[in-house]
Amino acid sequence: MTGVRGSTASVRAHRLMTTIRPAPARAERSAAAPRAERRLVRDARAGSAEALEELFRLHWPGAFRAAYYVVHDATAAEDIAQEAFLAAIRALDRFDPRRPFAPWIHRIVVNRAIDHARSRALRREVGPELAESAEAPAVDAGISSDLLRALAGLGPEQRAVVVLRYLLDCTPGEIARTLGIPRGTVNSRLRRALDRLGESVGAPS
Amino acid sequence: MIERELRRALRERPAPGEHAAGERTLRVLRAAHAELTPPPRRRRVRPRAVAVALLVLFGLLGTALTPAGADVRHWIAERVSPEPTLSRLPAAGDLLVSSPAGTWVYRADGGLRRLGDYTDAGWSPRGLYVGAARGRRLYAVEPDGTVHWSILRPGAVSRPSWSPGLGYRVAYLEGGGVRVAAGDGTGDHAEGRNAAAVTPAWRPGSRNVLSWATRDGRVVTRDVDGGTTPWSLAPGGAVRDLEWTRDGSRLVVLLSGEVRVLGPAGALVASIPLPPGTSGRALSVHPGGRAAAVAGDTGGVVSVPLGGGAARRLFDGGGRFARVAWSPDGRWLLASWRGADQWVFIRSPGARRGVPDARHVVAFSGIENQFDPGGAAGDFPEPGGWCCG
Repeated sequence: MTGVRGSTASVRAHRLMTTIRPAPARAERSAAAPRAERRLVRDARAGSAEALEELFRLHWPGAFRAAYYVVHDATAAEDIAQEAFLAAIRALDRFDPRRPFAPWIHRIVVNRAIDHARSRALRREVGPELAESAEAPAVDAGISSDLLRALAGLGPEQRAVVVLRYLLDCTPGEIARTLGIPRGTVNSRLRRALDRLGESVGAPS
Repeated sequence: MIERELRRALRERPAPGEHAAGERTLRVLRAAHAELTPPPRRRRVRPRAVAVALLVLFGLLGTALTPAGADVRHWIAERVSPEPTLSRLPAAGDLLVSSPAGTWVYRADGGLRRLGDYTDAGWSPRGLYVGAARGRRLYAVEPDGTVHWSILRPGAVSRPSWSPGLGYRVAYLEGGGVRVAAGDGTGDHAEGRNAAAVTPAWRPGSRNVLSWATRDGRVVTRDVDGGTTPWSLAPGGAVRDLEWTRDGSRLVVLLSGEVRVLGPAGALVASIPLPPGTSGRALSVHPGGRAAAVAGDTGGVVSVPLGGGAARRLFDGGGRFARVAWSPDGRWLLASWRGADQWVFIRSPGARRGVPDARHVVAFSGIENQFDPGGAAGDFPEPGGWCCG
């Protein structure tokens, strides 16, 4: 019985390693975590390595991609996302399992990624060869790759709101809470970011 | 339209490095989680569970006693055999690790940081920077991966070596020559030609004195600031590795079958043969300076007392050992066992007194996959230095 349950979980986990879950319908989205996730958090807190792994596989793609598309550096993204998960594990016993896990981890990741991108922008001694070596996103040619290239040209704050909105499917209110900025600022940053991205790829925003 | 395309671009495909980074991070998290959470409570034994367990046991015995069951038994043995995974270092300090797939910093708590696609790297004396080589460029990298400066050369660069003390010089090899740059990347210049593929060794002390091996079997020692060559000699064979003791009083030179200990002016102090069958590849001088450990292409790992006395074999499992590195406190020796894809940690209670022995050996397997999941076979990660605990 255990083996059957384990293999189902691993198949599901593998799928989630490459594809972000579809966003829940607005009606489903509430302050409460889904029952399965609550169970995972409780079990992980009680010492279950399997629960920890499933929780990780559910949230790693979103966390890593969020960091990557803010800092555009795979090594830094790994570091940021890894440290966020380590911080989450260390604070697991203080975490209320009734609350959703994702906003918690996303808040840590995105804010650290913005800090990293800002501090790197200040270090001008890094030569152009480093910028050339930044990994290019592995996507098909076409509007998707043009968009991701254009995204790299935005400022870190604008990249963060785009990532939170279109990768992690946060509402403007949730983005405002995550970043600690007014909701109006979120809307204006999103608008300006979409305008610039639209101009870059020659498409209406 | 832009919004729909953005969602698709961001959500449908993994970001570069996402999967491998996830596997590395998961290993770190498992180790952290195991340390932070209490072990699961032991459950009360139930009669029904005991009956089921007995049935399973009889079933296994049945398969074991029949020819048809042999394959099943073998499969079970494979699944239950322990595969210990390295989850943290046994001593304080950060370990620099390099392979053809890149360079990493492995922290004592098990945290792993990939610095980049560098093929060769060495610590600065206090661990504030890493000297790293990739292709024709030498880099000074901060441990968070930030590039501080770089130097582009016409030939391939390798084996960076940061001077001890204040760390104001970096030596490296380029196209068969030895070059030295200041610690801020300025003043890069040639110091010698005909260098062998051996990491140059700085002599600890107030002057910047550098020793290196040449392809014709000599050891050259040069005062880099004064532009003089105090001595140069042929120790009697191809030099495999060399390193100064921390107090700068001895230069330890590894030849294929012996270790030669030279004084600060090049005088021969001791010559210690390695045990029969040992072909030395790399050495690491104990922080206390009274012994060195040697990794062998053959013959395993050997302890060599530098004050005289016979060399002793600490560990041998067959196959090639490529590098050795002492922990900063001198209590643990790490030997990279390339032939078995393992790292072997040898605890040495006598190391404090400069007499390494092997009271406790812990081996971790699957090292290649741990650093570069799914990477090319043969990209074995070698320790480049264990710094500054």
